[in-house]
Amino acid sequence: MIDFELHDTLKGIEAFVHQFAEQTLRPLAREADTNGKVDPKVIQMLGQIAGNRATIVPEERPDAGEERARLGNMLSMIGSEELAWGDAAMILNIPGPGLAGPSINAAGTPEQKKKFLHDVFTGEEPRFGALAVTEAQAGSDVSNVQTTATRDGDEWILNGTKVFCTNGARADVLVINATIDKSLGREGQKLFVVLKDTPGFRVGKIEKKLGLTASETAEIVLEDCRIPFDHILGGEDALKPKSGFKGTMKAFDASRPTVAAMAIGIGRAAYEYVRDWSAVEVPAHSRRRPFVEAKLAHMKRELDAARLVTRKAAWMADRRIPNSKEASMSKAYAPPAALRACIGAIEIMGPEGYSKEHLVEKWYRDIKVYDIFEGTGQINRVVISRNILGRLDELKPENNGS
Amino acid sequence: MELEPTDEQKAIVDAIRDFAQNEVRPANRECEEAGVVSERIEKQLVEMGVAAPVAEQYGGQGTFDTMTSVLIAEELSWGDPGVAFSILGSGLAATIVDLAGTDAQKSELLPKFTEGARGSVALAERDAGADFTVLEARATKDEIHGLKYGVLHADSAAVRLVVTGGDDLGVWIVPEAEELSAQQEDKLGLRAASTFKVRFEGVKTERLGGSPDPAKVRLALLRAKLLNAGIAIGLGRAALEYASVYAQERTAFGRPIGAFQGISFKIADRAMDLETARLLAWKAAWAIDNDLNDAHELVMSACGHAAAAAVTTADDGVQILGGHGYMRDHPEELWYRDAMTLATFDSPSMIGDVFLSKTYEVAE
Repeated sequence: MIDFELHDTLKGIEAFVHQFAEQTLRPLAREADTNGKVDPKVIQMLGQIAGNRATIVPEERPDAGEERARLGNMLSMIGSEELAWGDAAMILNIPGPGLAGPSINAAGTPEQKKKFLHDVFTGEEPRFGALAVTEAQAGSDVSNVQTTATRDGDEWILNGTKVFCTNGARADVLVINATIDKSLGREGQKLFVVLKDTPGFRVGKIEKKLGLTASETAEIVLEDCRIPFDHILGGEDALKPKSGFKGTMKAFDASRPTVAAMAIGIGRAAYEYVRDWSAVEVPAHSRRRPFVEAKLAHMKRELDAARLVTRKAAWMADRRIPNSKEASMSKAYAPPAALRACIGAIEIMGPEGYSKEHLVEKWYRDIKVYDIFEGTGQINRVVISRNILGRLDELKPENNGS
Repeated sequence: MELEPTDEQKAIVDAIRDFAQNEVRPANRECEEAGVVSERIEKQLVEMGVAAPVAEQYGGQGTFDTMTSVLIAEELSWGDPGVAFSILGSGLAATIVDLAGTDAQKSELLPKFTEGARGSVALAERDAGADFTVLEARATKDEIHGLKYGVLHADSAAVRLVVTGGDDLGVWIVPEAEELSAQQEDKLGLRAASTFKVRFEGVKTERLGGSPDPAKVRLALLRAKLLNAGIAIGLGRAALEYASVYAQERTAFGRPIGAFQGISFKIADRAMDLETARLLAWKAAWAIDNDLNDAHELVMSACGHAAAAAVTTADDGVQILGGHGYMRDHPEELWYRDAMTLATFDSPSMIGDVFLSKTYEVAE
């Protein structure tokens, strides 16, 4: 039966996370943005409150019950939206596996999940994970990755340079995409785990960015970096044809809706802020009122629509229904909708909107990257249209996957 | 959260889908040119219990909840939006009587539908399409005054209802003997649904439900609104599907045009519009069926989004077919006209937005 009621467990978590976002994150957002970093003491505190594994999805946790596993992706949507509502940049500083989580979860063997997730992210102390896929010349075209992994007996030797890696500089566990054979094109792409302090691994420059300034984005340099053979995600099976690249893509099916949920959190922050501002600053008799009302309604409608398609993608993932089309839809739809909400907020507030006295200008800067990282809006449209062209049943309401 | 329809809903959807594909789509031009739904199609939909859902105690095959009616609307409209608008719009009168009528009124009116009688609901006004809280038609001493647009079957309906505004939003029953001053609308699209402009000047009527009960009437009208969202989604799906097939068959510069991102991105964008519209409509239906407070806001939101999606998708549908899209050899031009008619008729996205905004202060 079609039912939009959230599970009680999810409602409870939504309320808990919202409180954390409102009381802890939001008040520190401006300072972190201005400083371009989060105070280590604050990171420690965030870690403590979040149990040092805020972004870990429940099914990755050894103590997760069956119910939690069934709600895992949905929970990730709810949590991510609320956290990003608090502050999108600061939450990337909350200790946890980050995007290494979905990758290891989607492509790793049970032993690898234990070794690289459960044994590392125990919750006892702050630990970070990161995913390094992008290279200067290879963004959406992941198959153009030049980083190589060469087998040498029981080891892999990695060489190459990765860019735009969130938390790359402080990661304990890094998932890296590399090719084992350039002549195989994307079939030669595999995911590898590199642990902190591995010789041959070095952090390059730290980027200065338009937004999300309080989140650290690093360049990763690999120079004859040797890792054990079993650090290839998926183990021996990953060497079979048609397994590696799909592993990377599969991880996107889990991470894209999460990124979309974060974008919705930012858009909702802007919407709610300007709605409350307008209630005071744009009185009912004001000539601007009809414009403001229409704008607000449109912003809300688009955010609601974005949330529904994002949650549908998560609902499918929780039921193990292939969701690559819906994951891409959420990622292609939500960030521009949230960006329009931020633009609308600045338009409504006028000169107050661009002032640093309010967070609206920050949200406008922060939101832009959500239409870029984890697959640009354009590459996600490629995924969506490929799912439809040739498979027209995809347009029917009950056909939920590829 | 759960997005899987019930087995019963799936069975109904399958049946309507088959019917839409085998009977309705092939007859779309015939119905449009005749200006009415063909007798054959109308009769079958009455027999299927879809045209006017009536409870078993009044001789029908049972009524549908809002969710099911939205699912039906999408499938039937995929076949032809004009046919869906005509048939389901007619049946709406039965739903409104069922939801807001007295027992006596139900016993008198509902059995008529099971015999194939048509219904008519006079709701839209020039300045009040989606927003029925600003209706100008009034009832004074059981007499109706006002000008209504888009009144379905005003010439042929056995059950005729009129909606009036004011503090006591009300629905009124026009006696069968009463002659109405009705002028048929010669319109852009949805031509298979014959509609009229009707001027009510002191028409003597009886209040549906006996005494004023605006809350009940509002609920019934919300269901009426949401039906249009379902029709818009079915229209959009039809247009997008047709254009997607064409994009794979038609080649240019040595490749199917669907291989060009100028085309494939349109397809992706419209698929997102439709998916989000469908989810908004489902959520609104769920809110009505569960009697939730924000049902009103959700319905307006869904209608606005669905209408906009239908218009944009039909536009892109014609565009993807290029010159062929402009020709009557293909149905895209039909959907292009239907979409705009549907949107202006009843749920213009603009009005949906403005109306919605009026609720935000109290709602949040």
